[in-house]
Amino acid sequence: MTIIQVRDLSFTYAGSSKPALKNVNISVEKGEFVLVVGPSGGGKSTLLRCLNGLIPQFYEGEYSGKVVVDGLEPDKTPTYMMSQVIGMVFQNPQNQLFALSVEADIAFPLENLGLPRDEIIQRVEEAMELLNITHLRDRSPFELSGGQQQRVAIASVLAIKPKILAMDEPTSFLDPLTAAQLLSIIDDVRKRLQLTVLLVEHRVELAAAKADRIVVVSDGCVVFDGSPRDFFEFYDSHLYGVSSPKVTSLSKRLKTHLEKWNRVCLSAEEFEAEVRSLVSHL
Amino acid sequence: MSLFEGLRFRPGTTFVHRLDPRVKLATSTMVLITAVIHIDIVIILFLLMLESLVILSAKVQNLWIKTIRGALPLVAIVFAITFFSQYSREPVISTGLGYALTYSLRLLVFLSSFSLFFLTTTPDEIALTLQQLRVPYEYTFAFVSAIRFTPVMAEELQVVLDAQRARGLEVDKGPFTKRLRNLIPVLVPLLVNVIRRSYELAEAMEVKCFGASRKRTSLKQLNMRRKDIFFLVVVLILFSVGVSVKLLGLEPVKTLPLLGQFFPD
Repeated sequence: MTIIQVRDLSFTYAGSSKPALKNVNISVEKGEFVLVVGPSGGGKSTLLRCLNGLIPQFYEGEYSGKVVVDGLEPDKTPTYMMSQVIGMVFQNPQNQLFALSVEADIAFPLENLGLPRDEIIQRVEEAMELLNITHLRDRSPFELSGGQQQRVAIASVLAIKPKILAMDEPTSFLDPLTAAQLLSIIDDVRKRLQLTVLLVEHRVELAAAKADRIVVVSDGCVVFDGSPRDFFEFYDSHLYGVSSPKVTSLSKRLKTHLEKWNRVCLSAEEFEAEVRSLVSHL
Repeated sequence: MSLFEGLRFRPGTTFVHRLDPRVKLATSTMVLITAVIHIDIVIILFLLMLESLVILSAKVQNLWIKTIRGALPLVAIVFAITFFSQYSREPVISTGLGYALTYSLRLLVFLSSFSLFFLTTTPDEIALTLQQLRVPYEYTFAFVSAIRFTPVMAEELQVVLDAQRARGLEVDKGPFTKRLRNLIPVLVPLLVNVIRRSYELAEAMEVKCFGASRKRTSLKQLNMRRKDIFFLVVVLILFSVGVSVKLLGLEPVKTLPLLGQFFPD
C-alpha cells in the first residue's frame, strides 16, 4: 500500500531564485525504510518539510505539484493534523525540547492535542519504554547527553503515534558511537511499531544496510531511487556526492579479484559473513 | 553556572517544598497584604519571624540571605529617606529611627514574601499554578521556555565570547566606552543565533501540535491534600487576626504605652 505519493513537486523558497526542488516524483510503500542521501543543500530537508506541510505553510514560496500522505494533502491540512500521521525529528535535539523534564517533554504534544490525562500518562510511559529512557523521567533537558536528548525528541514524536517517522539528520550533533546506537534504536523501534521511516542521513555507512531503499537527492532532483545494494554496487556513489561505506568499497575490490566473492557488502556484519563463508569453502 | 543556582528544577523534600504551590502563593500574598496595611514595628517583626521560620524549615536560608544581601542598598535608601522625611516633620531622633527601621524591615518582609514562594517551588509547579489561575497557555509557555533556554543562551554567549577572544577581541580591557563598543562583535552573532534558533523552535512547536486544541490538557495536576488545607487554614486565621487588629485599631504601637513614645500618631 502506498502511503506517500509525491507527484511533480517543485518548490522555490521566497526570496530565492533557484528552485529547491524540481519535479520530484516519489512514492513510498507502507513499512518501508527509505534512506534519503545527497550533498548538503541538495533539497533533502526541503523534501521532508513538504511531506508534513511545513512547506508551504510555515515556509513561504512557490509551490506546485501534488503530495498525498496517508490520504491527506499536507499543503491544505493543518500541521498539527499532519503531525499525527507523519512525525518529524530535526537535527538539533536542543531545539526540540521545550519542557523542564523528560516526562513533560514527551507529554507536550499530547497536552497540546488535548488528550485525556489517563491516555497521556499511558502514552508517555509507552514512549519512554520504547526509547529506553524511563530512568531519565525527571531529568531536565540540559542534564542529558546529546544522544539522550535525541531519544527524548524521538519519544515525544512517537507518543503522537504517527504512521510515518521522518528524520532530518538526527545524528549530526552526535559522536560516531552514539550515532550508531541511535540508528540501531531507530531500526529496532520501526520494526516493533511497523513504522514507515524516512531518514535523511550523512552517515551512510551506519544506515545503508538497514534501509530498504535509497533515494539520492541532488540539486533539487531525485537522481537515484532504488535498493541501496544496487546503488553502491553499480554506481559510483562519489559522483552523486554520497560517501560509500568502507566495507562496500573493499568488497567491491575483492569481488573483482576473487572469483568466489559473491556480493557487495553494505555493513561490517555482512562482510564478516561473506569472509566466513569463503573460508569455510576453502 | 552560579547565576542559575536559584532555579530549582527538582522539587525539594521538605514540608514547605511539598506544599501545594497555590497554597504557597496564597500565603505569600497574604503576608504581603498584611505588611502593606500595617506600619507597626511589632507586627512587621512578627511577620519577618514567621517568614524566617518557613524559610528555615524549607532549608533555603542561604539563597534567601543572598536575595536579602542583594537588596541591602535599596533597604539603606529606604531607611535614609524615611529617617530624613520623618525628622524634618518632627525633629525627634528616636521617632525618626523607629519609623526608618519599621519601613526598612517592611521592605524586607515584602521581598521575602515572594522569595518564600519562588525559592521553594519548581518552575514546572509555577507553570502549573499559572495554568490553574487561568493564565492563557501562551504566557505560561513563554515563562517555561525563558527558564528552559536561559542556560542554553548563557552557554552560547560563552562560546561566542571565546570565539571572538580567539580572534583578538578584548572585552575586559580599556576604558568603559571602549569595552562597551567591543561588545558589539559579541552581541551581533549572539542575536543572529537567537533568531535562527527561534525559527527552529517554531518549526518544532508546529510539529508538536502547539495550539492544536483550545482545551489543553495537562500531564501533571495539582492536588490539595490534607496538610495543604491545614496549612492554609492556619495562615488564614493568622491573616484574619492581622486584618482585624488593623480594623479594630488594636495595633501594639497604639495600645502599648512604651512603644507609643517612639511612634506617636
